[in-house]
Amino acid sequence: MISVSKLLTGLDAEGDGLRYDAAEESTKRQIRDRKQRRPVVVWNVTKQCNLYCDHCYAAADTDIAEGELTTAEGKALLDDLADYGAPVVLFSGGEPLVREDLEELVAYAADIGIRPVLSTNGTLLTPERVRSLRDAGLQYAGVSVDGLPERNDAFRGVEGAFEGALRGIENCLNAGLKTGLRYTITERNADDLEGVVDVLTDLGVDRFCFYHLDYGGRGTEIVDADLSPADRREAVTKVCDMTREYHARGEEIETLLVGNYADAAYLVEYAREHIGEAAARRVYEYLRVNGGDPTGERVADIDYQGNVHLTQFWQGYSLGNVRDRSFGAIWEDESNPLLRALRSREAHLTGRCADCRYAEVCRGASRLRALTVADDPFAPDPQCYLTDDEIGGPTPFDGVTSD
Amino acid sequence: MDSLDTTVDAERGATSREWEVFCRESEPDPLTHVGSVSAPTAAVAREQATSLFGHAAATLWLCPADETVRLQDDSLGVGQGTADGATDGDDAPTMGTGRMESETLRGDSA
Repeated sequence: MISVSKLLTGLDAEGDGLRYDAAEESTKRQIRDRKQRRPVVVWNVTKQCNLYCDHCYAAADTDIAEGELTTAEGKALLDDLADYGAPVVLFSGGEPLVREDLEELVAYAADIGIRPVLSTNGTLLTPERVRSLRDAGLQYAGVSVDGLPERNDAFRGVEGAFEGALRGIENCLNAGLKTGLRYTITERNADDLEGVVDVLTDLGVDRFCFYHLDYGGRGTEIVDADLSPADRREAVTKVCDMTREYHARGEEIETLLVGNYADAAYLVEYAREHIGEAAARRVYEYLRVNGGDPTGERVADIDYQGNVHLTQFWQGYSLGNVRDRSFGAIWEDESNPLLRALRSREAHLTGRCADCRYAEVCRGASRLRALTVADDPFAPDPQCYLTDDEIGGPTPFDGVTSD
Repeated sequence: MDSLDTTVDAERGATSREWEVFCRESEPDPLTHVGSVSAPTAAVAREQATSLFGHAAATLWLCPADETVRLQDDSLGVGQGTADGATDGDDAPTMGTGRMESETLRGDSA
């Protein structure tokens, strides 16, 4: 997760402390020391969902899966995660709001010191549910919208889903629950991006997360609908330009890019071209501290049946199951040669990634896309959109630290 | 062996069959459990495991998770395993499809 607004405009936002050790000047809550080295854990609390999205990484549908973690098991899992030092649990799904014990689990997480946040399609965020989640201690609700009404509803498989999500967002804003957009950019909806941001800023939303499509779950079935590298570059440029334009107008929206750490390198290049060399240097240093693609390190996923995954998108491979061992024991077990190699991936990356001068801030981007397309978890990410000129040469700003 | 009194028998792999993967990196090393892959057939599971561990493995074994008996000390894991292998009858509380449908916000109908 790369904060474009932080890097290009200096906007200081909740959560940046998770990503940037150097945010000394921040007045927001920071997470440091041991905890910042622990992963943010995505917990898919159920496979069930009231929508049927084309790109769902969890392959969710209206059916309840056998063996979903019970309330008691969920609380034991949260205790386990707190003992390990996980700073944040992102309740996800399926659609997490179909779980009737969600408030109970959120409250339990908050009570034991884990920051509870939510990823939802927004269409079950009734005023009553929003209030009960807020009162349980929920800190943030990220709502998925993937285009203006026609495109969004086609993508999500239910007519009226766009308006439903907007009502859910309004309910959050009315209740004082922090909310924001989750938008997966594909060829189908890239043209709607600015329109959706305009609609939501008019409502009062100020946080926008733009996801690149990863190739997991049903996402593997729409790879052909993914952006070309050239179109991806254009979309990321649009996010950067839009962030600066809003900021210049005094509207401090927070914008983030997720799922393709080629963005890290591009942001350095963008900052150099549009803001200046000193800015590029500062951006690079922030991103160096951020540490590049977080797969198997700073993000983890636990599915509805307790299987632990390298990221939420990589559901086809599990490191182990929390019904068998604690999360910490699974996550720390580097007798697993894949986990070990992913954590020292610079020595394993091949092709254009092997000699890329931005390897330190990118780390090969999505290993899942590489695996899906090339059957090799250490092949180049097929969605790298950087030019050979940009990735060639010595490491930028070698040995520098930020001001 | 007295401590291995808990059977972990919850379902795994809701969208496809799950296959336990065991890996030996070189001849003197032990065969180690390295997780599981989701695959509809043994052939696909083999392809997936080879893609993930081919760079490191001298030996790979694959076992269907639903044919694998998991016994352990009850202090491990977060599950509510049972001593006799029977299910505990406790389900995750989720909405039925009817309620899920009726509570979904859809613009003016909400």
